[in-house]
Amino acid sequence: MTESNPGDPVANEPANQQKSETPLAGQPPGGEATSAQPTVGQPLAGAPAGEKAFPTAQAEAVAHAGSTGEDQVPDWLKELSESSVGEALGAGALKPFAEAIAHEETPASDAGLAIVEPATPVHEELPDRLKDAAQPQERPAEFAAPEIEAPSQTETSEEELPQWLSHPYQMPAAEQPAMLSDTKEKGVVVPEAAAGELPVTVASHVDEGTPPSNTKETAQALEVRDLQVPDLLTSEPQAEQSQEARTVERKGTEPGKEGAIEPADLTPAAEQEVAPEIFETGERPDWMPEIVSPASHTLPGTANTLRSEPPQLGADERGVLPDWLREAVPGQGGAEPTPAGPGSEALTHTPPSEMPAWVEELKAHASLAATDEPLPEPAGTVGPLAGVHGVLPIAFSIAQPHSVSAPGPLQNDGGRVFESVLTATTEGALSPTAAIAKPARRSRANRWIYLAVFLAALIPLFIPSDSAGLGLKVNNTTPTAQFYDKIHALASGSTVLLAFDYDAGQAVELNPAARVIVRDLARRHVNVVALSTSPAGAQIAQTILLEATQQDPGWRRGDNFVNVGYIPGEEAGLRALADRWLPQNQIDFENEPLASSSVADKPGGLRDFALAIEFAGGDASLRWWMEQVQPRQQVAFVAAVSAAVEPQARNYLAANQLAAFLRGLGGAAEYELFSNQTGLTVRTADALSFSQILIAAIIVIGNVVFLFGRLRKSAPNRS
Amino acid sequence: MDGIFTSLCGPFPGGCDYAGVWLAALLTLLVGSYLIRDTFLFRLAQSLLVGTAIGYGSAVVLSTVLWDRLLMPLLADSTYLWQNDWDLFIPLILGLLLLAKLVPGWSGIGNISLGYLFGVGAALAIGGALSGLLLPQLRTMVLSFPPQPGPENWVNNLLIVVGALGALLAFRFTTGLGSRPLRVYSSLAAVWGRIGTAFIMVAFGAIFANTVTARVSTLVGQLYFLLHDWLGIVK
Repeated sequence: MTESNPGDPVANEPANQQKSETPLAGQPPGGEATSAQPTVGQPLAGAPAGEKAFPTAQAEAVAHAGSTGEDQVPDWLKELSESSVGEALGAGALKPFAEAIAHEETPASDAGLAIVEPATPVHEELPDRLKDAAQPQERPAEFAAPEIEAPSQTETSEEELPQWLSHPYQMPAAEQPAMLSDTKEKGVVVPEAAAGELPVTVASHVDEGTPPSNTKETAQALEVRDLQVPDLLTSEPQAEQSQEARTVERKGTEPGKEGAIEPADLTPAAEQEVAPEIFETGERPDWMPEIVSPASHTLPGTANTLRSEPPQLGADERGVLPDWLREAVPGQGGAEPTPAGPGSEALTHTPPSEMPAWVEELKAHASLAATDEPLPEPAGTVGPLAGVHGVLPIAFSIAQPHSVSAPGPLQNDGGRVFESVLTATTEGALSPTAAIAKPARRSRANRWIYLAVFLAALIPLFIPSDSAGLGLKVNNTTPTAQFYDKIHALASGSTVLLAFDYDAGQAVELNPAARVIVRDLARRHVNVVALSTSPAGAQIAQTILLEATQQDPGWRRGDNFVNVGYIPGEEAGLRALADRWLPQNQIDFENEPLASSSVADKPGGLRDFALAIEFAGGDASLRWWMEQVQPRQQVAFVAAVSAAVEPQARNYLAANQLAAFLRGLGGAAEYELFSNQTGLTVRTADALSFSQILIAAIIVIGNVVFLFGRLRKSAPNRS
Repeated sequence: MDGIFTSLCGPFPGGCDYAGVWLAALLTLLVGSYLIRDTFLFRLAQSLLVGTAIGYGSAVVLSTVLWDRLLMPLLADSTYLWQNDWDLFIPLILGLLLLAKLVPGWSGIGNISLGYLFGVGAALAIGGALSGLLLPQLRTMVLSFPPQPGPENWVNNLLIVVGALGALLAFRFTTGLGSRPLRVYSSLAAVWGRIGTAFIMVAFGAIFANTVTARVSTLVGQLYFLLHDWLGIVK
């Protein structure tokens, strides 16, 4: 058991200094989180008084390195001296730490886990934080020792001690580094710089009181002593939280398990507090209590004190421990600084300007190290350990909140595209009130248009065609003239095939044309065979044929005309009709066999017809005839089509598949004029003309208003 | 059916025609009520139109096709059925198989009839499109290449050639990559394709204009029917 060094600021703290205790995993919190921080060198919570503080491996290392007893310096520390750490610290930088380890001062306080301060005087080359540790610390009353029975300590040699159990700070109080001194705070003192360097996740808890402000110094000492301190045990508090000290409440110690650190203890449960720096990039969840500076945490281990000897662990206990806790690792860890990981930036608090010089020298030596082999470990990129090779990433045992990373360029492009699409839609979107008002305005405008077109179609019906001024002018160049010529080229007694392929919907437009054509054929004594590819067309054909018979009684059924009726199968039926004429035993529309009508007797099939007239209400029926019948039969085709089918009919006319065509109501009116029939279709021509002129004017005005509206909208943008 | 109408309309000469005119006028007004809003009356007239068209078409098909051309020959000449009308069994069986589509468990059997229908329809459509549409149109376009007498014929033929080829190139997409000749062709096809697109747009506009004309013609014709046949105002 080491004796407390008179210069040990931690050991000389008053014994009634309270220590905050943090219950281990699974145990309820010992109390509210306080700001008490254990002081370096103070014994662990519950440890009996006089127990030496649990040293850190770093402190042990420096203590060994600076010890006059060279034979007591562990090999790993020697290597450290020779390595970059030693180079950064200087030849004598580790001397105080080595001396501290050699003396192994027992802290006077029986507070919680503490770190033994180096007993050697403050060396000039020591970092500033270490120099501040020379200041004696006054342990506040709230840092009283917790009622935890400290495990018995056994004498062990320095070589047997694990790195983090040794006591690096065996320096007099006046010579102790700054990190070990705390004149204002209670509990464990942590150097300021250590808080930014060593991520310590060990949560500590004090009964009451505030932790010392320089708890970072303790963390720095921890860092120096033991670079293999797991991340769970280290955490760095934020600058504003340096006032809080936490100690890990250890489990009840048992013989042989003193100083044992259970894996469960390291788990950052709700009872443990994690340094808020872990969540630097994100928000700390509510279930995670605040953490304090890592250096303020007293490492779990032996009761109240940092043992200088490893705990006696059983085989099963060793199995659950991490490798670095099972036994002291000689010659390792101390040569390399604590690696920096992805979360290290969350745990670092020390600004770059406050980085200790020896860390900076590490970076410089790492870059200048003439090594033939490439550095095994990548260099740290963030935090104070940026540029230091061999930095292992910090592995958190707790889940960090997911931090949304900034999207890359490709993601940004996709986001911009999507944003532009949304903006375009939103730009054209109207406010709710405007959206409701717009359909209302549009509805009112539509009704005015409907009324105007209705009046344009109605009024000319009352006006005599001569007075309208428009009239209907026909000439020989119109398509109707060609159609009329084809009809009048038929000889008397010839047979014409009429296909009434329209329904009642197109009857208003095509019935006038069919009526005037049939009447003209009847007047010319041309025989007619009517059929239809639609069920309603057969009835329409029957009606028109009967009207023609009433006007011309000499034109009779059977002798002059016959209505074959409905031809099923659409294009298949027409294809069959083109290949073979109808059988004579087929029943016509009047339930009479075709054999009873001489007109229907066509042994040559469609070739026996002089002309085929197609009344097409839709483009489908016209296409069927043009595709299935016309290429296979040498018969002339003409068509009387609806206005909607006219573009298609013009194509067939241009391809010479149609000899002529007649367009809807206007064509019927023209045919009446050509045939000198007193039909009433001519009266509808003016109404049709007025309506079409009005619609054309509405379209032109609407486009003008639209263009001016676009110009008005674009003018403010340009201005 | 004719006997029913004869018995009803016989005592009243012209009465049925008069009733028909009034019924047509009333339905015309019901349909015209849609200009105010979608009312029950409009839906009533719409339903009557759809139902009447389907019913009449079904009646015609049943009477003139199934009964007159299929069932009556099979039932009437049963003695020589297998000698004269054996081919009628084929459409009978196919029609019965098509009815199996109504039964969920037997719907697979109806695929035979559907396959026959689809196959015949596809063959007729493809053959008819080639012989009745594509070839005649191509022949007409090719005949437009030689210079025609008269400036109007020359301009007309030029428009036909440029428009037809441009409309075809409008549906060809190029990447602009490859060798130099290919890039030149792609550029030319792109420019000519845009001209063809303009022709297509003009054609669509003409189709739309003719459709509007057809609807206006229907309006005028129906107004004339109301004023002349129903009200007798227009003489």
